[in-house]
Amino acid sequence: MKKIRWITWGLLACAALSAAAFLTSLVFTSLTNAAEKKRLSQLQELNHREEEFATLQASYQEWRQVETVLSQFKRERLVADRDFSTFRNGLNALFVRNQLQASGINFLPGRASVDIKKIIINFVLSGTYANLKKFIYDVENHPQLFFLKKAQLNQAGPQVKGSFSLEVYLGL
Amino acid sequence: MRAIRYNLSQRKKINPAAFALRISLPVLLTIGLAVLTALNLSHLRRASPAPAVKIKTIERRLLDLTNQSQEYQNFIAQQKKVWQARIALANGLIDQKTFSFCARLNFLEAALPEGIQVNALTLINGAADRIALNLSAASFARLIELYKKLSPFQLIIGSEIEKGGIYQVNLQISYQK
Repeated sequence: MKKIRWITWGLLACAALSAAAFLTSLVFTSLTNAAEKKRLSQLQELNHREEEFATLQASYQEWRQVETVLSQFKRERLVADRDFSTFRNGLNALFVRNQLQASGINFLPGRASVDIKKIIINFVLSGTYANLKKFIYDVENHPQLFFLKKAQLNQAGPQVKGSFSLEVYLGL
Repeated sequence: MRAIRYNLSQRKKINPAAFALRISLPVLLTIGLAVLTALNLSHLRRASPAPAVKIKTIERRLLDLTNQSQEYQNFIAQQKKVWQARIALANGLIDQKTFSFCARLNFLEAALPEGIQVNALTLINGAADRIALNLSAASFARLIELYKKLSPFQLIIGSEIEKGGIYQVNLQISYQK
């Protein structure tokens, strides 16, 4: 009888140990899950921050090159200040090539920025509509950065008279 | 008549059902709890879908990113201060260079019907992008036809004078619809 009692107590002790192990495992898993949850949310934040950083880095790279890009723009697209007479001759050649008669040419110099000079050139051209349009086309498609600011075309008999305002930017 | 039974054994008689219950309950309980524990712990052993990066590593990387971002932002702010005005100027110049007078002339050539003569036109390279026209129309019908064509372009009729069957009109349109 005593033996049976001992066995029963022994088995009950095993059951109690199992219960304790089970409870410990519950606590352990919930703690581990909480830690994993925290890790995942941090990982998510890290991914988000990495994406933001990639954008910022791209912007940083662009800003690092801004000086080079601007000086390249100035060199390639603007008329150099020392080459203004060449530009002026080129403009005259453009008038001649399009069979246009120029008159009333005047220059208004100004400054666009520290290193860029602006000159407004006003002139009147006489010729056929087709030639005036060709001239406008040539100005628009010239690789250097000068452009028409205003064009006023008036019919004058068989010809058209065009008053133009052209802006040219010179790199200093 | 009731039978008289005597238990001559020195030990107490064991009830088999009660004994089985007394033994099997703790055994089953032990086995059940062990299985539950094993199941519970097996969840932990399953691989997490996220990469196995430690919290400390993540925190270190976040700190690095914060420092690096700050450095980049300072650099960008400094560069902006120096170059922003020049960039704005360059972009403005490119915008003006891409403004096409030829495209506007082509548009007018296509829009003007026969019997309409342009006496004067003004084009301005600017944000407003308005085209001013002075026209002569041989008939009212032609004029109406022109108005219909130009109506989607914010047409403003400044004046319309009829003299000897010829209509003199001043109008403005915006090239942008």
